[in-house]
Amino acid sequence: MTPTPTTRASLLFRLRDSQDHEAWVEFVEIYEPAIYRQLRKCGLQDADARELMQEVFIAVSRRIECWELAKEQGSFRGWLRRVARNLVINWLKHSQRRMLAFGGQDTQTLMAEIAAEDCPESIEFDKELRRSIFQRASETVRQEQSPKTWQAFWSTAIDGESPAVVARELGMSAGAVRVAKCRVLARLREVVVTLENQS
Amino acid sequence: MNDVCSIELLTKAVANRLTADEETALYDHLERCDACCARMEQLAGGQHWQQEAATLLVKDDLDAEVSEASRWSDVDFSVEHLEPSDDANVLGQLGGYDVLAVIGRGGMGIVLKAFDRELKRVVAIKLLSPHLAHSSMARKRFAREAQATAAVVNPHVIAIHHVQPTGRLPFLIMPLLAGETLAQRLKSRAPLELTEVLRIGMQIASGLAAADDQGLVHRDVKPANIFLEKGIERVVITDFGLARAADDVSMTRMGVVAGTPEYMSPEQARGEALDGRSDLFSLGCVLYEMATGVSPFRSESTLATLRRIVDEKPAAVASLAPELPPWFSYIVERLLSKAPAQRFASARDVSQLLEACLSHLQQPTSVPLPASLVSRAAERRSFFNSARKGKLTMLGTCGIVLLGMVMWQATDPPDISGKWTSDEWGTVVLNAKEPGQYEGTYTGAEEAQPANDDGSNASAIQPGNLRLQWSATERRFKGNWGTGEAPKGMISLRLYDKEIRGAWSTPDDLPKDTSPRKLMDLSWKRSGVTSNDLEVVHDNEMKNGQKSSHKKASPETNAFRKLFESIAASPPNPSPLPVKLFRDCFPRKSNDGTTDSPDANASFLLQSIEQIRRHELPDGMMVYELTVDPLSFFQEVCLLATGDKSIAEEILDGLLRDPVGPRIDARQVLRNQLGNQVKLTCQFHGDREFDYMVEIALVDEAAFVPNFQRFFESEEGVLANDTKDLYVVTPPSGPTNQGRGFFGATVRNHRLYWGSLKMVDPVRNGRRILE
Repeated sequence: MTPTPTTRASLLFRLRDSQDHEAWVEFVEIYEPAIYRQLRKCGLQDADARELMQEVFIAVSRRIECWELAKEQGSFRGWLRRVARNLVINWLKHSQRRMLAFGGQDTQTLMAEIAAEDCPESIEFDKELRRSIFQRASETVRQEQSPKTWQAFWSTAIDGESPAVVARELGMSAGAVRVAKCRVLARLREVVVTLENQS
Repeated sequence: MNDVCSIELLTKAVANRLTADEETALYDHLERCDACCARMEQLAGGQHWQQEAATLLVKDDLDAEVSEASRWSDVDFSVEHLEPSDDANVLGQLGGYDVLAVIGRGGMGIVLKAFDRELKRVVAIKLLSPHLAHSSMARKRFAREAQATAAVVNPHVIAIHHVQPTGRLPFLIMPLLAGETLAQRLKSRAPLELTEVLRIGMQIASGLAAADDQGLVHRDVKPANIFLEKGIERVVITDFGLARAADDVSMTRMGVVAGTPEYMSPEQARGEALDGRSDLFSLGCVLYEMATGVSPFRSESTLATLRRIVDEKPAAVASLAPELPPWFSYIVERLLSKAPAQRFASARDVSQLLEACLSHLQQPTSVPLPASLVSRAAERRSFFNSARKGKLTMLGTCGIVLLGMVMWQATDPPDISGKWTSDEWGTVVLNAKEPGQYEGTYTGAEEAQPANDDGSNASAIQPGNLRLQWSATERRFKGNWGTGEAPKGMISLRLYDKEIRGAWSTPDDLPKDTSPRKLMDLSWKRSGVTSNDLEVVHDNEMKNGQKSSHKKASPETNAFRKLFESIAASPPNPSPLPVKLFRDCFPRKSNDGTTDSPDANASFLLQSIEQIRRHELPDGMMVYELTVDPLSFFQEVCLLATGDKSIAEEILDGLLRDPVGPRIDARQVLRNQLGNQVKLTCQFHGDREFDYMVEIALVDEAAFVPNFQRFFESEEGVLANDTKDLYVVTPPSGPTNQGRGFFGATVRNHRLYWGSLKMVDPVRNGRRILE
């Protein structure tokens, strides 16, 4: 993705509330990879997936006025995610006939449709979203921890190596490796839960 | 160390709240206690959680593609996208070009330095980023941009030699420019000189005008996209990467701020449709930054920048760079108007305007400031807001030379309310309406005064009313007199202690036979006070300027005044020198139609002289010391010299404004206005308020130099020592001013000497006659 997800200026500008602004940045960080991956899995080329992804965000940004008008419905975060999720899932449902003719008008129509029920598409996309949340959370946690702690966690929890082996490689005690692994896992859960609860 | 299993300790361990000792002990304990290891894993989320994390955190191929752009390197690029070359010095080949280096990488493309084997020249290749190359949309856009840019043929827009829209990687060929970007230059030395600012700005505007002709909006005019070519200093706008036909708004890329926020126009920030005037706003930002060294809307975040662009007025140019002329601030501020309609109409207009300003700066004598700016500049005067105190005194040697000594005195709007009397006007009653604003009545002459030699009394003043308004710029009251709701006669006056002096004119629309005199002086005394009450001061000793601040009229004052007045009243007789001098030097220029005669000029100039005193020098030479209100005096001089009030004000403004550095602009403006008829120069030394030199007149005396030197030497040695610059300037010779010379001298301690002479043999320009 773009190294630092930035947003179209006009959209940023419309988000006068700085909390909303943060929410948008976070939203883009989570949804951009999720949408991209989902679209690629549906067989789209890289460039097409990117174009389409942009279209989704433009469509969502166009609806921000609606959000401003209906603030009582909950947090901006939650609203953003609902809208985007519906949009993507509905698009995926209709993707067979719409593939690359994905225009602004259609987007509006799609978004207006009833919220996506549980369907294969929604289950798939929710998986991608959760993955994206994990990825983002891990980035946050990694920056909090020392490289050694992170490496100990990664080698044991993700790569499945034994604490003893990792301890030797990193020059620390096996106990320290175990503590590092658990510490990161616990912190990761905290961050993931926070990100999820906001949606 | 204890070896106890403790849930509490484990909880603290997971939450990273152990002390260093506890931490070490726990490591040790965990080596031996599998149960605690399992408990700790449970506390950290358990097996299920760990599995999910492991699954979701593992990177796959798609992740690699997602971050492809950021991992991309020159080597990868060469290996993947270039044909191998037999030359070891090149990275590879692309479409017949030897690629020498990767110069840069942007959102859409990559720029390469390459050698064109056929034409034997080094070129720049811009190609679509590989990750976009398989999107037909991106290809179309790339090709369209290239073709649109190629259609703009202008020395200030980057040329496109060739466009290759097909093939594996579409690319275009541009000339490789040597030099630096404006951003680089600003980083190394900002702010830039005004001439350089104008030169660069003019060329940018010219390039934008050419793009505008093709319906192309650049959208990203910023210092990094302005290239300054080495040597010839040509300015080239590069990177129309974001430019596209103005009607094609639909393809704005999401996730990329289209345009650099700092230089974006408000309409761009709002995501509205754009036209060429959006680029003009950006140009305004660039001019602002070049001239002041800071960009107008810079903020700590993108969002804050956008808000400032839309909502806030940037700090005034003059507040950051007070030395810049007001007309420049006007141009920049107009470009930075929030509403496109309030900016200039087109880039071409701006280019022409900046070009005219540049020629004016470079050749002030032959090229005037564009007319549209002259009045704007005058509107923006700020000088009179500053409260200055001081007093100006002048010395003149009658018959030979006039010498002036300057001190400084500022005047607040004086109170002139009350009752005044004069022979011609009868009783005048003035009432203050608002500060500086008066209304009044007058009873008119009680008995007809013969105004002319023929004894006619046609100009006797009838009862009527007056309206007066304080003019801050001229330091006097101006207004109208006459009968009815809208009196038509003009009047101009100033308070001198217990006397009001000034001039008035009869309305032009009066029948000729009833107004034989066009302009006359007036003198009103405080009711009940006669001229006999005025304190008479006579100084035979020449003292320091500081001492000469008498308020009352001396006999010399009256004598000098009479001299002036007599000449003013009888135009055909130009013999006495001082008035002849003013009259000869300042050509008739019709401005408002009422004060354009030499007599009127002399008369108005006289008004700015508060007091005249005579001193005798050791060799018998007479020196007259004039006490003047400096502002009004300079104002008069400038006004008389230029015949244009706004220019006169600009000169004054430039001369007298906050003294930060030398202001040569005023002199240039003046020179420019007067052209070959230079009769007045003002020089500002930037030290403090009053190191000026003003040369205003000519006097008929060939032997002035020895006398002048003697005069300085005679001044108790003080003045001579203080003199730091004395020189003679001759104006261009011609039938009327051949042989005339001017001299001026500047002295430290805020004192000014000025004068003039007529030389038998013209003295060359700038020759020093005294060190």
